[in-house]
Amino acid sequence: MNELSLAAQKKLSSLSQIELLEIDLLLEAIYRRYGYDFRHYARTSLTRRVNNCLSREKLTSISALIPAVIHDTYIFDRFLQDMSVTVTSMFRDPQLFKLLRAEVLPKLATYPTINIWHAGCATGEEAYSLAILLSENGLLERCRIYATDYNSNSLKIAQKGIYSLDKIEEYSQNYTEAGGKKLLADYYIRNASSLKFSKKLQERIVFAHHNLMKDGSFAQMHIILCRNVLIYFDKSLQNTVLDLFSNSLIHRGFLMLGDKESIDFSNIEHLFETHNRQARIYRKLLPVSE
Amino acid sequence: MPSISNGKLKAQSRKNIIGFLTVLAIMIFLTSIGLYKYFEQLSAEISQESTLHNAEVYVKALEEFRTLYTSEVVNKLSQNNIEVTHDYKGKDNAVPLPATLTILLGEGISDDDNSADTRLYSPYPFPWRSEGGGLQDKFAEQAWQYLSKNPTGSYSSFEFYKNENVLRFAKADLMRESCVGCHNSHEFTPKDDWVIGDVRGVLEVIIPLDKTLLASQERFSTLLWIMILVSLLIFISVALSFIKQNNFAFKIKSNAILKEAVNELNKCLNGEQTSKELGHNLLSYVSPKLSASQATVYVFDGDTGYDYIAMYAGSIELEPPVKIKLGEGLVGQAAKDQQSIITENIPLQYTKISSSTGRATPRSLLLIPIIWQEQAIAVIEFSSFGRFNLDHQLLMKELTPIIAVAFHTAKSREIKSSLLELNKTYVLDLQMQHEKLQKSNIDLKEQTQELKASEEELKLSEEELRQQSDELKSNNEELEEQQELLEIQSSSLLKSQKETLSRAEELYKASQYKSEFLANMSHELRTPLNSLLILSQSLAENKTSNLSKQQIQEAQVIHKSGRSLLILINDIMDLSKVEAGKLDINIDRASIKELCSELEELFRGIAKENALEFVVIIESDTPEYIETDAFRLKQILKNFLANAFKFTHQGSVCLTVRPHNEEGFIDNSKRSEFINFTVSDTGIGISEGEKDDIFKAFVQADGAINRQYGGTGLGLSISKELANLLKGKVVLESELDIGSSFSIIIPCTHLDTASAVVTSGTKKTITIENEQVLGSYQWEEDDRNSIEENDTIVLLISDDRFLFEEFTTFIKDLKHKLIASNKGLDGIQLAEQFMPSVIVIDQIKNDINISSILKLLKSSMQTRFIPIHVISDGNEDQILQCGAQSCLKKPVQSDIFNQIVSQVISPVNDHLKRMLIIDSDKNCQLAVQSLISDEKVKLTFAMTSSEAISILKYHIFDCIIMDLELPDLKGLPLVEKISKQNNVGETPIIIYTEQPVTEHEQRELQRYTLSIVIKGTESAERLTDEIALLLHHEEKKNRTSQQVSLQMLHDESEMLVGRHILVVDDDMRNVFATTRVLEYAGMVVYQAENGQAALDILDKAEQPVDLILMDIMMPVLDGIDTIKIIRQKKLYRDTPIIALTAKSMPEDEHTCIEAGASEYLTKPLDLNRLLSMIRVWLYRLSNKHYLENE
Repeated sequence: MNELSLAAQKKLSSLSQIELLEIDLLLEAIYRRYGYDFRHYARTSLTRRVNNCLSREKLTSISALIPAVIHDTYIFDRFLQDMSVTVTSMFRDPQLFKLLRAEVLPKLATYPTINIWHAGCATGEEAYSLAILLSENGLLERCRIYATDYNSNSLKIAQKGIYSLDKIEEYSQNYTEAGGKKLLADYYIRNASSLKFSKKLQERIVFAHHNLMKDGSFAQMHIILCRNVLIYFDKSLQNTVLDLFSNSLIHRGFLMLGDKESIDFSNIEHLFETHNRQARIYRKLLPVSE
Repeated sequence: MPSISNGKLKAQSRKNIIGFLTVLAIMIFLTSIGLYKYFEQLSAEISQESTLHNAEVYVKALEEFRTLYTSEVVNKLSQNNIEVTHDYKGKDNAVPLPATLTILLGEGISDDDNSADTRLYSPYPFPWRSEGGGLQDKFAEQAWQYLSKNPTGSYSSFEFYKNENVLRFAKADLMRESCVGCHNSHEFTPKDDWVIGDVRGVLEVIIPLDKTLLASQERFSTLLWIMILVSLLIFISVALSFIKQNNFAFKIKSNAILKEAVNELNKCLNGEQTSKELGHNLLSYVSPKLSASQATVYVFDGDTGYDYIAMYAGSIELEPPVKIKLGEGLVGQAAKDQQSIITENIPLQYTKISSSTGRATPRSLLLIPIIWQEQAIAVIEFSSFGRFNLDHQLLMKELTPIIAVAFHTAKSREIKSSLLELNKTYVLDLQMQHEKLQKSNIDLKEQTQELKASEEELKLSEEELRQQSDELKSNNEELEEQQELLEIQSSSLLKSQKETLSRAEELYKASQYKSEFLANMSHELRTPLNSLLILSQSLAENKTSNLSKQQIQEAQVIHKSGRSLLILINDIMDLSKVEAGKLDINIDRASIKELCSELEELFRGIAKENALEFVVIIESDTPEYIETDAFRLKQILKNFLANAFKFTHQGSVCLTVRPHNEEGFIDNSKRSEFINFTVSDTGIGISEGEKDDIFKAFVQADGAINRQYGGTGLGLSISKELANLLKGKVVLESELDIGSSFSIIIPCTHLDTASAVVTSGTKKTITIENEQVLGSYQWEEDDRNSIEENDTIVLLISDDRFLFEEFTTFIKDLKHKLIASNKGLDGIQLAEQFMPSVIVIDQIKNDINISSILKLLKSSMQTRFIPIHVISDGNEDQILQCGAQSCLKKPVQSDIFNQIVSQVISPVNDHLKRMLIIDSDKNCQLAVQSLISDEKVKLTFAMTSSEAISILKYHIFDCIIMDLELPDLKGLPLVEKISKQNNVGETPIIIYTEQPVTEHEQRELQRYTLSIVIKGTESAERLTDEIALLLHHEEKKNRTSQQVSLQMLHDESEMLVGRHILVVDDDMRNVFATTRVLEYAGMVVYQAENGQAALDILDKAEQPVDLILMDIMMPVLDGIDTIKIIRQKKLYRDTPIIALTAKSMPEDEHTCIEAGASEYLTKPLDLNRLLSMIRVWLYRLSNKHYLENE
């Protein structure tokens, strides 16, 4: 078992030893069968999800989930869906986008091309938000946004660029708060129930399947956004992923994490300087010597 | 307070008692009498009552009898003819009347005097009863009256009747049913209208009381006696209790008095009084109570004695002792015994009690110790005229405890107050200390703040330290690696040194052998050759004329061959001599004229033979005489001329002699110092490529020439060597089919000048073995002979002896080595020989000027990197432009000197020192200048590309920052041109431009640089970053841990060279890195940024691509789809496609392979692996083709 904090251990001790064993076996089975390594996910949230899955599949014990997952890919698919977090919205955390606009983009304006990687993009709203932001700052033409996730369903949705209008109020508000100069409506076309983002934005975004746990670096990025993904990983996996990011960033590139995450105490801590601690924006240092 | 003495009290109480008792007795007496009387009456009444009751009962009985008789008997009797009459006695059948019977009964009963008497009467008596039956007295009448009205009631009275006290009780005689009939019907009835219930008469009973009375009286007298007794008893008891009570009351009263006294004393002693006050108050209160007229108080001092504290009514003479010890005197004794002492009959000597009207000795003394917790805490002495009686003593007994308490309290209070005082002082102390503490607290707080701040700083510096330690670690690692490297290098150096030494030895030996051989051979060869020549000549001469023409010819041929052979041998000898350094040069004055005429003579014939013109021209400025080795010069010229004649078929051959001025090298104002001998011809010419080669030994331009023209091809090489020896150079100009001109330029005076000349097109060398030529001249005593391996050498070119002295001193301090020359050219030679770390050039009189020296040094490959510092008052800019690092002024300070030298010592940290900035915008230049504030960095500016290029000719930079838009050249061509400059090579270029760069442009540009900065608000920072990044890369390059092993690149089978490869990747940097490596390995690289572009390239390519590297995750058309489409193309069905992906799931690999990829690599790429993979696939491919073609 991987290292757990004392609190987590306490929490988990309420689970029986047997349950813990079952979870270990389940994760091992998944890893061997499908190659998805959840063994290093944070145990507390993982356990919750496993239990959700159990109740949905109407199984009584976690061990019963093992053969189900191994033999039935549909069940595994559903399990995957469970494991991936799909909470997202347009201009989520508008303040962050504001900061992006004000502090980060001007620095990147000196590059002839800009690569942005949004890791864990889920259904893609934030990627489109980025595209809008860049467009308003006149940088869209130079940019390429790579939006990746390991949940193919979410990617499909993101690729289409069609979203329901339910939350459009919230989105518009977020957009304005993030410093939007026009109206959010300028960027999409709508019908009665849904909206679709303009092609101009879609062109610049590449949606691709990428598993942070296993896959490697595929290009050198100027900005990497990975928000509220790392919290589901345990320390060693976080280090792995952060290493990946560190290797995928150009020098003086920006790394942006979620507000409950940070690079403190990680392997890459010394490679970065803190650009804005509150907003969790870090900048890769030049590989230095005097 | 009025004090009631006990005695009075007692008397009063006695009186009280007596009075009371008297009263009591009287009262009792009276009461008894009253009681007696009452009882008497009571008894009478009782007897009356009982009598009454008796009467009632009696009467009732009588009535009942009568009734019963009447009802039961009479009725029946009358029926049975029995007469009911009053007069019955005489009759037989007669029974008495009820009334009669009743009377009779009554009479019968009351026979004796004691019993009751019965009467029956009414106002209507029957005649027979007229006497006794009528109302006879008052009572009867009264009774009849009453009873008539109240038939059911009774009437009684107690009377004195017939001398007796009797009770007369009367009841109504009622008519009953049985009576009525009879009575109404009786003949003699007085009334005949009786009704039932009428009152007929009165039945009276008379009961005497006297007996009862007597009896009761008897009893009563007993009672009386009893009562008297009882009353007596009561009296006594009451009296007693009364007395007791009185006593009790008395006691209470006296107690009350005491208590009062105590209270009063309490009040007196109340409040917070000192012992003294207490004493005074006490005495004032108590003394009168005790009737004492004088008193003193002593209080325990806490130790063993008693202190005098107060006196009451003391007289003048009285001086009580201040302290009395325990047991001392009466006071002490009282204290000791803890018992009061009363002394009476005081003698006269005692202090008198005095008042205004007299004085007298007291009568008695009373000493009372005040006990508190089994210790006498005070003693009071009273003296009085009277006696101290029990009352007093009692009083005192009562008061003593209070006094004790009071004194104790007072004492405690005193102690307390003293303690309080102490306390106060302590408190003050504490306050002071508290203040002090507060102060120090504040101080501490401040210090804590400071500590916190410094802690913060410490933390920060800890962070820094950590960072630094990390840096140090990595530096350490680097250094270790470098160290290893150096070790390896040094060991290999040692090795090669050894080898070199051994080789040198061998060489030496070899050259020894060679010269011996030469010497021998020379002799051995020449000897037979000689004979051959002589004999063949004599044969050719045909002195005996016995040979045929043919034979003569043959002999001539033999002779010729022999001659050629001899020439060849001579040449070889010469050449080898020259090479062995054994060729001697004899410098002497030579006349140009003579030389030329000799040559003319020599070749006139040949010229005629070959039908060529031969002209010798000596130009006007040519000096007459020169210092040189004429023989050797002749040799050279002969060689040239020979060649010229050999290779010219028509036209002319011309020898021109003239003074030589090389442009730019020598100051025009000076006298020319060189002389130029040029042999020009109109011959076959020499092609460009061959120009270099012909100077090599044994090479003629195009080996074919040798066959055609003969000749050994040695001549030119020998000439070249000879020219070197003469300190001259050979220059060749030629054009194919037009002609050639060979020039030899030699100095006019041999020894003093040394020209570091460069033969065109070839690298120059100075044969170091010619030591006798070099180094034979030395200006001052310097260190050139004591140079050791790791020495830092400073070269000084100056004719200033003082400067030399200065430098010598500096050098000695720093423990370096100094070499110096006062001739510029000599200095240059020294520079090349010794490779100093730094050169300092001073302006030398009558010598070549500094800029020439600079240019010479900078253009020599060996010395171009050596930093040069110039001491001059001249034009600084020009000097710096020529490549000097700095321009100093005399006198040179030691610290400047140190700076100069120390800059050089650490080549490892050779940071960005020289930067070239190419931008037509002056503002930009200023901006960059302000950006790079580091003093160590030297900036050079150029506004146009041509300016830049001319700068780059002579200077090397560590970094070039350039705009894309220059007035004379723009964009990609500009970058290409700059990169291609000789001195650029690997120099990193940063493009700093205003216009945003398109992707296409970027791809093109990335062959030269990855760093493109768009000018903007943040560009300053970016620029700094890029420069810093370059530094890092530079350092990285210095390490041997390169990404791609050189081995990999230098592929022996040369599989990769010339192959075409298509790299499809949207990431600029990846492509850049990969492309570089592939190009390094010799491949031709095409780039595409997405699938569609890749397909376009493939379609348009002239030559099919041998291998494709395909990134998977791309925009527009992703890798998988692209591979599929490519595979559909006939041409590329089998082409190896290596898929590059960041994904590592097994199904990803599967997907790639299914789409048609040949192989699959995960990013980040291991370039070695990539190369080997490419090699493998190409090998397979070529083998496949091979097999197919077979």
